Amino acid sequence: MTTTRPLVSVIIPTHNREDLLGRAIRSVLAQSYRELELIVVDDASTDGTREVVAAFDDPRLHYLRREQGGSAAAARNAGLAIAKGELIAFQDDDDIWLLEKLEKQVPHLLAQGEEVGLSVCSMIWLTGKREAQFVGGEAAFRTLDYRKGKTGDEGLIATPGWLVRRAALEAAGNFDPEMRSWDDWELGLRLWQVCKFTHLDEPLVVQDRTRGSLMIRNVQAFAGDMQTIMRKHGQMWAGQPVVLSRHYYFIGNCYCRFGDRADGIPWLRKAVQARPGNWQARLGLWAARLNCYPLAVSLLTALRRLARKLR
Amino acid sequence: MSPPLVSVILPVHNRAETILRAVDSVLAQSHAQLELLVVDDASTDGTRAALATVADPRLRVLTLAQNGGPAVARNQGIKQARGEWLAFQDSDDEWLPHKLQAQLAVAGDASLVLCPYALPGPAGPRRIEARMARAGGDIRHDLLDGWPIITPTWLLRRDLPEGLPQFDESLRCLEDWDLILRLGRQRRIVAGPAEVCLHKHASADSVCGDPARMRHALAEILRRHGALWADSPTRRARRLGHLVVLDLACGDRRAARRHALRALRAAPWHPAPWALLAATWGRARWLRACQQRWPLFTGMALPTPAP
Repeated sequence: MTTTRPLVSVIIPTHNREDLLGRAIRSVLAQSYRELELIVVDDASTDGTREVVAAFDDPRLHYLRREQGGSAAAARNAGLAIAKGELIAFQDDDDIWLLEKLEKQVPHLLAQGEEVGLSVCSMIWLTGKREAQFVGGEAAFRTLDYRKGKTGDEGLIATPGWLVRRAALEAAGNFDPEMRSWDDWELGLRLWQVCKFTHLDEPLVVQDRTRGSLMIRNVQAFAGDMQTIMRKHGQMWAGQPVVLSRHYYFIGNCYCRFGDRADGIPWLRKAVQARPGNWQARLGLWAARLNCYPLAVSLLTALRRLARKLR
Repeated sequence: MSPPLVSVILPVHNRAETILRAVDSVLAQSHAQLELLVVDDASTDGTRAALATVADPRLRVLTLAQNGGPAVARNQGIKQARGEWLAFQDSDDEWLPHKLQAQLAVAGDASLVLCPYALPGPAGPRRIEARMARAGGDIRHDLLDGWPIITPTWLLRRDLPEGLPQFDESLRCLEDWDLILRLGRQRRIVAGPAEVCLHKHASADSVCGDPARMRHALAEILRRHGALWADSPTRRARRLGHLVVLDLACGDRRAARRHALRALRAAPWHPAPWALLAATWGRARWLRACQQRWPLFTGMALPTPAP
């Protein structure tokens, strides 16, 4: 039975972020939408995470400890396993929800009917010291069109902006625990096949991008994640050489940047084969063969920076 | 040492829609050692009923019998405050949960700590700007430009050698700027933490939306504190330029011309004072075009002149 104010289960996976976690929890518990439960999944933290959670006195807060660490995706799945809500939302341990996030997003999603399973909201990124940026707008939502593949500016893809129906998650399956960073994108691709998405174009989440988040530390994990994506969803882009070539190039580039030529060159070759006009991949392939890939990258970066300055 | 008590003062007038968001964002602060004084400036809508639903014992509501404006309301709050620090919240803004904690961490011996804030830009909510004083501590020049002065960013010591800080009640807007310029002469003001601590929501009915009020306040500030601009002629010209725009919005062409000439004298090398001077003979249409062409010159959010 659907009520107008259904229970929302909010899941925060966390690992050794005692200094930031309190802020994230606070911004959830202070939501003006009170009908929620918050599940903090402590992914084998070795710092004071347990004490930070224990300091909150709120019956809606549940603490789940995983003794064996894994990916954020696995932690989210553990939270999903005990979630009781009809709607599911995710928060990250370094992000802040504005107080009306659920108050605005829940009715917006419910008003759309059962076939719409996922709502994403716009965000504010804190991009540097004294800098903030709005991530959203209809154009950005359109780039979320998963059939276009990875284009590099899917800011809206991050789970803190999500509100998803449990039914849609059950149809699509949980996060893939093998994914180390793009678990959100991978699940999004599956959700895309079972339900429609909607977009609430109002900034409701403040994402802190200044602290070298998980993403930046795990650049090498991207190559593996992209391979998993291509294995599971490659057929989605079968007739689209542009997307295929972009993705192959992405994998090759990740490997070659970190000096793994042997693994990278076959992917760059595939990228060129998929779309001979992909000059970036062609250039990369030559550079990798001549064993000067990092040099070429820094040269290209310098050129780009110069061009931007001239403009 | 126990954490210091912060008195948060929140003046409100007829904002039943947004008051709870503002209140909740204060009560959810990670620095929990606070008292929240909501000064109800004679609201006639459901504001008081909304406040009655808040159960937190740290909340106190003061009710003013007649509407006096934010300066009067804040002064009443300051008199009732018991905390070592004063902070101010507006009825339509939202503090991020770490605001007070981050500011207290960098306060040191400063008398006033500001913080960066994000707000929807002039292009509407699509563009978020982060506003804050320049890095490096010296924010004197930023104060001359009139920002970041908004009171929701402030964390201010209550007991200053010159007594309790008080807003000038004769100003119906920009009273915050007036106070900060007075404070800045003797006290140390710091830009505060680097992280954004406040989300400003776009609001339609700002007190300073009335150009006549704004004009009076700005002229008054330039008269009182004019000497502060002595060695920043371009900044002086900017503020005078703003005054020209307001003069014209009020239909006072003579004053506009006088102020445009003063701006010209301050910065004759800059094209904007010339354009503004020309606009004083022109039509409102041209002025609006000028305003759009040189928004940086006047710098502040300008009230749109009535068509």
